[in-house]
Amino acid sequence: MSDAAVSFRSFSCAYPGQAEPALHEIELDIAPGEFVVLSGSSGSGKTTLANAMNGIVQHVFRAATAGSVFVDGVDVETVRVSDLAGKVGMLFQEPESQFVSLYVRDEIAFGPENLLLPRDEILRRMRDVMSRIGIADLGDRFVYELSGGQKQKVAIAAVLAMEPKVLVLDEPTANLDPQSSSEIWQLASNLRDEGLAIVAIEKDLDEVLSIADRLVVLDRGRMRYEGGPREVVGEHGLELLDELGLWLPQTAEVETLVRSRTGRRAAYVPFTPTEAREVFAEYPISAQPIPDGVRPLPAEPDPPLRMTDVTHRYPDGTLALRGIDLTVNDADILAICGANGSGKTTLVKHFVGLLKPTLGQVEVFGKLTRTLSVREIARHVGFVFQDPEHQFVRDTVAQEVEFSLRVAGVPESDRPAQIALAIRTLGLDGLDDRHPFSLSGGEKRRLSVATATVTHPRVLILDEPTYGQDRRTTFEMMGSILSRTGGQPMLPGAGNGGNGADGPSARATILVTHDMRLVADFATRAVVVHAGEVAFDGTPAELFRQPDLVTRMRLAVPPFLQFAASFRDGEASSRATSLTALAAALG
Amino acid sequence: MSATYQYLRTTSFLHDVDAITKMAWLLLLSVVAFLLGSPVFLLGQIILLVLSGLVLGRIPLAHFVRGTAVLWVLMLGIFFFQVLFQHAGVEIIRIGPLPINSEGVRLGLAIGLRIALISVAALVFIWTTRPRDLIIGLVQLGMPYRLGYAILVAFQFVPLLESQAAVIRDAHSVRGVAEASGRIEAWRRYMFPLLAFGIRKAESAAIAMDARALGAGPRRTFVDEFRWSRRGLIFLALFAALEVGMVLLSGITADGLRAASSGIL
Repeated sequence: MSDAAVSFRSFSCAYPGQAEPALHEIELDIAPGEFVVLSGSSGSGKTTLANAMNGIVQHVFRAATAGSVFVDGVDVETVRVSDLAGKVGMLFQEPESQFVSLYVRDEIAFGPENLLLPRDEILRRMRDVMSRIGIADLGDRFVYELSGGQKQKVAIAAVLAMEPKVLVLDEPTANLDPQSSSEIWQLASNLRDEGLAIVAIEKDLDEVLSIADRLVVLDRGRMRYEGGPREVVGEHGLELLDELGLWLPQTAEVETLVRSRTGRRAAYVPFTPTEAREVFAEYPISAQPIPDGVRPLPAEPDPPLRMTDVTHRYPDGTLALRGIDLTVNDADILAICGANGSGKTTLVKHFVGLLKPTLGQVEVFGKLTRTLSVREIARHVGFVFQDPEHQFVRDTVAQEVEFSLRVAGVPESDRPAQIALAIRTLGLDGLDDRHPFSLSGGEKRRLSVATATVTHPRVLILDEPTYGQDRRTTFEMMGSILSRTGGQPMLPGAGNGGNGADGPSARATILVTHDMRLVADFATRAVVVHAGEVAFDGTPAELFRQPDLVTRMRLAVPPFLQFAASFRDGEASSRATSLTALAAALG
Repeated sequence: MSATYQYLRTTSFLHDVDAITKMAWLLLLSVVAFLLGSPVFLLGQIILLVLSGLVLGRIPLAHFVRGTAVLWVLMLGIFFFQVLFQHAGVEIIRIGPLPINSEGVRLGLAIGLRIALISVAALVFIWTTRPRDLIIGLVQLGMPYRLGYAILVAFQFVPLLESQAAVIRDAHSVRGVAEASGRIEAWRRYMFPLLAFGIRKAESAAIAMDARALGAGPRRTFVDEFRWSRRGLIFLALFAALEVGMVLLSGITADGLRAASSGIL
C-alpha cells in the first residue's frame, strides 16, 4: 500500500437506514509529514471521512462500505477500533466530550495504559509529550478547570502519547479565543514538521490554509476539489465562498472578490497580510471615500442599559467583575470581546437579571435589575444563548415562535402573520411543523434568533452568534438581526421589520464574540473585557489600531485590517471598516 | 456547583490512607453500627467519627453541617415513626390518645443514630477519597477494568450534567417558560435538552474511549500502582481494637441483636 500514512481506495459508505451515501468513491492518499485540510459545508461528510480512518464508521456505526481505507498499511475493515488507536489519533470537536479522566496526568496516561505499554515507557512518553506541548506544569490539575486552549492541548497530548502516525483534528479551535487558536495551529504545524500526517477538518479556513499543504473540499459526500490550497482557492474561490459558504483566509477573500469584480488576477492568492501587501502592491485603491458606518455616537439621554460600578463575586469567591461602568445606547451594535474566562459572559448575564451585582447597580430601562424578575426583563431584552437547543421549549418550529409572542402578550389573532414573517425572514420556510431538535445546526441557530427577534425586543443579546455557522448563513443571519436596528450602514434601506408597532426607532444589539471578523464587519462599538474590567471601549477601528492592546487581551487584529493598516502607509485602513468595503475599493 | 458530596481537595492523614483500607474502615463502622444497640454508644461513636474527620481528615466543620443537613431531617422522621408506632416497653408519657413507650424512644434513637453513623462515615470516606484511587485499587484487586472505567466516567458525568442543567435553566428563564407553562410542563421541557445532552455525551465518551484503545487487551497497565498504606493499616487496626472494646462494653446482648434484626428494615 505504498508508503502513505492513509489511503482511501474508491471508498464509499452509507449509514444504516439512510438512502444517500455519506461518502462516495473517495480516492485519497495522505503522506507522512503532510498537512491536509478537509473542508466542506455542514453535512458534506468531513467527519465521516475522519471517522473512517479509525474504524468508527465501519465498526461502531456499522455503515455499509465499499472500497477500502488503509492506515499505515493496515486495512481498517479487518482490525478492531482499539487496534487502530495507536495509529490514528483523533481529536474530537469538543475536548470535554473526550475526556475520560478528571486529572490531566490520568488523561494523558489513559491511551498508553490501554496499549499495555510498560510503566516506565508510559512515564517517559508523558514527560516527553507534556513538555513538547507546553503543559508540563498542568499534570495535577482538573481537566475541567482548565481554559479552552489548555483543554485542547491536553486532548492533543493525550492522543500524541500513543505515538500515532496520523493526527486528525476536528474543528480544534471552534471555541477558542484568537490567540489560543493560533497556538493550536502552530502546534499542529510543528507536529507535521516532526513527520506526523495531519488531517484538519475545518469550515473556517481563515487561519489554517497558510500552514496546510493540501486542501480537500467535500460536497455531499464527494470530493469536489483537491490540490494545493493556493491552486484550489485561486481557481474556485468564488464557489467556495458563495456556494459552499466556507470562510477563506481574509486576504484570499479580498482577492477573490476583487477578481470577480474586475477580472484582474493576482500573481498568487494571498493567505497572509504580508502576502497581500506583495500581490496588491500595484493595485489602485479607489479615491472614493468608503461609506463609513462606524462613527462614535453621542450618548443618549435615556439609555436602555446602564451598569454603575458593578462588581460580581461568585459564591465560591471568584471575583468575576470589578467596578464595571458601562452604558449601552439604543443605536449601538456593541461587540463584547475578551479571552476565555475574562468575564464577558458574566457581564451580559447582568443585563437580563440572570445575575445580580454583588456591589453597584444595573439598570434596565431605568429600573434596577434587583427589583425585577428575569421574565420581566426578558420581555424587552432578548437573549440568544450559544447553544440554540438550550432555549427550545416547544414541539414544532411554529410553536416555538408562537410561544415567544404569547409570552410577550401579543394578541392571538395577530400571531399567525408574525410567525409566518419571522419564519420567512430567517429562511426557515417549510419547516413550520418540524421538531426544533431535528433541524440542522444552522437552522437551529436561526430559529433561536427568530424566537428572540419576533417580539422586537429593545435590546438583543447574542452569545457567539456565528459559532459553527458558515459564511453565507452568517451574513444572512446578521442581516436579519441588524435590519431591526433601522438604518444600519451595512444594510441601507433595511426595513423596520415586523408590524412596526414601535416605529423605526433604533434598537441595541449586543454581540458576545471571539470572532474578530464579525466585530470589524458588523459592530459600531467594541468593549473589551479583561480580568473582570473594561479594558477598552470605542469603535472597532480604534481597537484594531492598537495591536499591542489587542495582543495583550488575547484577541487578534483581523488579517484584512492588518493588511489595510500596512498597505500604502495605512491609506486604506482609516476607511476599510469591513472586508467587503475594502474589496470594493481595491483594484 | 455543589461540592458537598464530592472529594475535598486537601491533604491530611485520612487523605493519605489508601482507598481500600478506608473502604474496609467504612465497612467496619457499618458492622459496628449494627452491633451497637445503645443510643449512648452510637452517639459516642458518631462524635468520635466527626472528631476524626475534623482532625485526621481536615474536613471543615461547615462541610459537616452542610453535608448532613438532609440526614438530620431523615433521622427525625425515623425517630418519630418509631416513637409513635412501637408500643413495647413501659409507657413514659401520654400525649392525648398517643402513648409514648420506652422501647419506642430507645429504638427510634438507635435506628436513627445507626443510619447517621453509617452516613457520616460514608461522607468522610467520599470527602477524603478520590474516585480514581478507589477504582484503581479495586481493579488491581481483581475488578474488571472496563467496569471500573464505566463507573469512573459516570462519576464525572455528575458535575457536567449539573453545569449543563444550570445553563438550560437560565436559557429557559429568559424565554419566560415558568410564566407560560405549568410547573410540570416546565420540568418536562427542561429534561428534554438535558437528556439529549446526556445521551450525546455518553455516546461521544464511548467513542472517545474506543478511539484510545480501551479494551485492546484483557489487561491494561496502570501508571499509578495501588499501594497499601502502612500508616493506614495501623490506623485501621487501632480503630478496630477500639471498636471491639466499645462493642464488648455496650454488650452484645440478645436485646442488641434483636434490635438490630428488627431495626433497620
